[in-house]
Amino acid sequence: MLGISRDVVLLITNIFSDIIVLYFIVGNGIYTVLMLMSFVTVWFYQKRIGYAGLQEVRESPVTPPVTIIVPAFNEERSIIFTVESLLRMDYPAKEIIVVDDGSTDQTLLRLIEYFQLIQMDLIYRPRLPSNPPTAFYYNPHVPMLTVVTKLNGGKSHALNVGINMARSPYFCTVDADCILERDSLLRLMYPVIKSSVNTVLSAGIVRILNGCVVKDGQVTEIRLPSRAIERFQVIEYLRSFLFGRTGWNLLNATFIASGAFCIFHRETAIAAGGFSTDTVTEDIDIVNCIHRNLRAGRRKYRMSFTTDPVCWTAAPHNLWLLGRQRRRWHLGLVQTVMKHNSMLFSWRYRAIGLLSMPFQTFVETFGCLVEGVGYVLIPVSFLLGLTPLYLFLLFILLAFVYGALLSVGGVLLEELTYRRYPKMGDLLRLLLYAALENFGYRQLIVLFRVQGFFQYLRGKKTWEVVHHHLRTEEKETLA
Amino acid sequence: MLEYNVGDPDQRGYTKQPVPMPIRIEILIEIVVSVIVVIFVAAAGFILVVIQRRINRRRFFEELDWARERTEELVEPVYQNHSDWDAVINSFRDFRTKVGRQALEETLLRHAKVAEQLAVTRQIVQKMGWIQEWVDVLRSRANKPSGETARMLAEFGDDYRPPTGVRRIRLWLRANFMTRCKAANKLARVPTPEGIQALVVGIADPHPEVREICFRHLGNLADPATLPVLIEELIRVIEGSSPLSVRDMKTALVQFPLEEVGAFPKALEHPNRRIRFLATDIIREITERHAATAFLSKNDFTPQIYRLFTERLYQDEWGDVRARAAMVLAHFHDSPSTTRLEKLLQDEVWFVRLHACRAVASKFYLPIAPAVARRISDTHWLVREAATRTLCKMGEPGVEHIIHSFLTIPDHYVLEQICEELQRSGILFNILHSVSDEQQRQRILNVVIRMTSLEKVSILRSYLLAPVSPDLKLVLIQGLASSISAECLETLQHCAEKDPDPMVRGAALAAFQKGLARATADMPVVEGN
Repeated sequence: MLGISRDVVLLITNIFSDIIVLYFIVGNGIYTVLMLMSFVTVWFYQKRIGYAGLQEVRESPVTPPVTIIVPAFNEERSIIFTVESLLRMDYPAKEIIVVDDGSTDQTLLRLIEYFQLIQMDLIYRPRLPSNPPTAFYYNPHVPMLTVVTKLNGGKSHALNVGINMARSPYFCTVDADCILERDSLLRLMYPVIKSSVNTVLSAGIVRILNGCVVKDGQVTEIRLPSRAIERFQVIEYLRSFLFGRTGWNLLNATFIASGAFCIFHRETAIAAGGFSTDTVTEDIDIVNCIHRNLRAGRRKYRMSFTTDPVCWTAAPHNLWLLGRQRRRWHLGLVQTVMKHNSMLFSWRYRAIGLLSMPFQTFVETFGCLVEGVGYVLIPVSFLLGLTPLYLFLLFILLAFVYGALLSVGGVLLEELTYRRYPKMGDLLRLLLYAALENFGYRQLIVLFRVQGFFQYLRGKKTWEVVHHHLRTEEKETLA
Repeated sequence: MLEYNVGDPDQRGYTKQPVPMPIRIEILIEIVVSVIVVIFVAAAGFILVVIQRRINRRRFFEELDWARERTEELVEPVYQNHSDWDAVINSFRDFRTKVGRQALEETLLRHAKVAEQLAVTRQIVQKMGWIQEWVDVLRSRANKPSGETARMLAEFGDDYRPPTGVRRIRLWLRANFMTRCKAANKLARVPTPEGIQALVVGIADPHPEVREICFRHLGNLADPATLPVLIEELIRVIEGSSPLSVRDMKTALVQFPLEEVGAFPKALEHPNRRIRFLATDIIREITERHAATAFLSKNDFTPQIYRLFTERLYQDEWGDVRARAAMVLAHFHDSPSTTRLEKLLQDEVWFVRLHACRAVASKFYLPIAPAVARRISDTHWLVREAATRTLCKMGEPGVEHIIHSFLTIPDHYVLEQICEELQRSGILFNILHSVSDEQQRQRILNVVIRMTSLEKVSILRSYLLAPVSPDLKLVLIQGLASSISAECLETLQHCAEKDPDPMVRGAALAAFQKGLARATADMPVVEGN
């Protein structure tokens, strides 16, 4: 009896071991390829931007206007910073629409008082489904800014209201706790303007604001945050944006675009149904809806990801908030992957269906389960004596060293190109945290992702709200 | 073969079964160890590169800062008192290192931005031999020009002799597309005849990025001689035989001065409607840029262009062309074009009417304000909006047209549109603040009553609660009294309780009571048990 059960355990362990090894090889192999591609792309981009002619784009009368949509829910502590940074942005023709999604705090009042807005009865022409606005606020002396308020209905609804109100051919979504660099919109629109193919989406990089100094709606000093958990996130963001998204973009297989800072072609987004409430990550969902819609219509299009238009965002500063954020992200990823599973291995979608979608499904979505099982199974099989100690240690070491390589690769890419962290001490700390990320933090993230997966299985569809810390020049404030 | 015992049978309690160790485990371990070593070395290498690069870059920028300071010290007197050229050039020769050259280039090119200093910069750069160097780089891989480009180069008297021998090979190896782009950039910043010729040659470069930059800079330099080549390329782009983007070509072409639009007839008369459209649109952009600083008339255009717009393009078969033509016609400021604009205001295509409305947004076109006012009730909301905005820009008579329409037109959608514009443009504030005589008072009252009937009362309610004159408040109360909405009643009640002026409080209270009574009477009767 004991012998049979041991054989079963051995069989299961072997199967899982093979899956884990396969996952490890495929996942890390793809990451390595993406990293190498990104090195080349980002390096070339850096060289090219010197003669790109941003000045011409700024001064050109043919530069298209952009509507910036800011959905805001209980953002009283950061909304003024954000709107100020948007108003100061260097772009020839912009319009800002703040959609207050039924905030229960002083968000709306702060906007009204600061910008001396007056309630007006403006016309609302709904083209996308959403809760209708309840009031509009405007000041003829700040003609770029319109504030719309509506009953709480979620970020998707708020964004759809913004799109319905927008008048420009392109709109840019910006989170209410973000600060954009002065020329970031110009840089984000640059690939749209320069492309001879219809560029329906242009995404930029999101960096972590924690630790930086903000003055008059602008980041004036870039520093690493003080808490370890925030520093690990800096590494994660660098890795994810600098070579994850750059690499997929190079393959024309963009699956994810951060809704914190992203430009969409308005009519394309409307044709794709706008932001849907089917998932909790409406930004990932709309990207795939656009893919499906345009591929179905056999339209030529392009999506672009650029690494130098920077959006600074406040990241969770404690484990509890981080957990909420990551569970939501993973829940949204699973929902999106399931919603669009017909794209999987579909020739019609080319690189997105054959490469990106399988990667997102099997490595990113289900990978956390494999990794999670691995973290349990390997020690168990060692304890049962099924795996020799040295093999167990070697696998652990391999996983950690490879993880460290990828993280250090992200820091290297940052250093080769943008060098945003000017202090040598910060750079060394980044390297240290890149090496340490795999010891504890990574496992924690896997745990949150597994929880997110189980939330999906339980049918959860609601957001977990995350409040952030944002430090200004004078003091730290809650954002 | 190695044998591997899974455990001591005595201790574990099951039968000893020597399990032959699978070969793959052995190999796997070797592979894993090798991979770990390689990855570890790679990670360590990455870390070293990061640190080394940071140190190098720091050193580089320190040197650059120093070199910048030094060059600035040397360059500044040259621009101030045009000192001895040879001595200046000799002093610059000290900056032979890469960093020194970069600093010197930056400093000189920065001075090139100032018109008065451009001539000095050009002299220095030419004497340093940089222009020739950049020209060599840019022309190193360009294909032999043909057609219009070759003709133009011949016109320029281009007698370029490429370097020979080893220099040519070195140049060919060094001048990748990015270096050529940078060279084009620099040549455009310090324009010289040979530089412009090189840019013209650059449009035949094998790399599209170099071509794009050359076109862009030819547009920026706006040398009239290069315009035909650019128009030719625009046609090729639209016909699909050039990989450049339409927007790039358009950006280049809109830089040309108004005097040069005479070169466009070929594109304006082209059988391809997209080419006609883009040419019209480019002329529109050029015209509007000039109109921002000067009042234009038909005399600013060549007779041919004038005829093309007034006789052909305004009645082009394609609506897009007619729409753009309207914007240009508006800058002729004469009777025939006004007549045509009036006709375009009634075009069958809505966006032609839209552009025509936008085109006449100036006091000059006040005589056709009634035609614009008719567009306030257009079937398309964008035209309605444009018409209202245009009338706003026509000054007081235009506003009178808007108010007259607002008070007389029965269409709900039209009224909503006007109401929005009255609020957004701030005209409503001006109207409300103009309460001086009885006539004005009556006008405000009519507007308020109209807005109340549309249920567009938010701004009126805000005014009633704001510290404005009691006279205005009385008018507002009179107007709002016709509403029985909860918000209005609440505002009236608030005013009746809190307003500092007793007369206003009294009027508000009366209006509130009346409104409340009407609201109660209108309330549906709910039958109880």
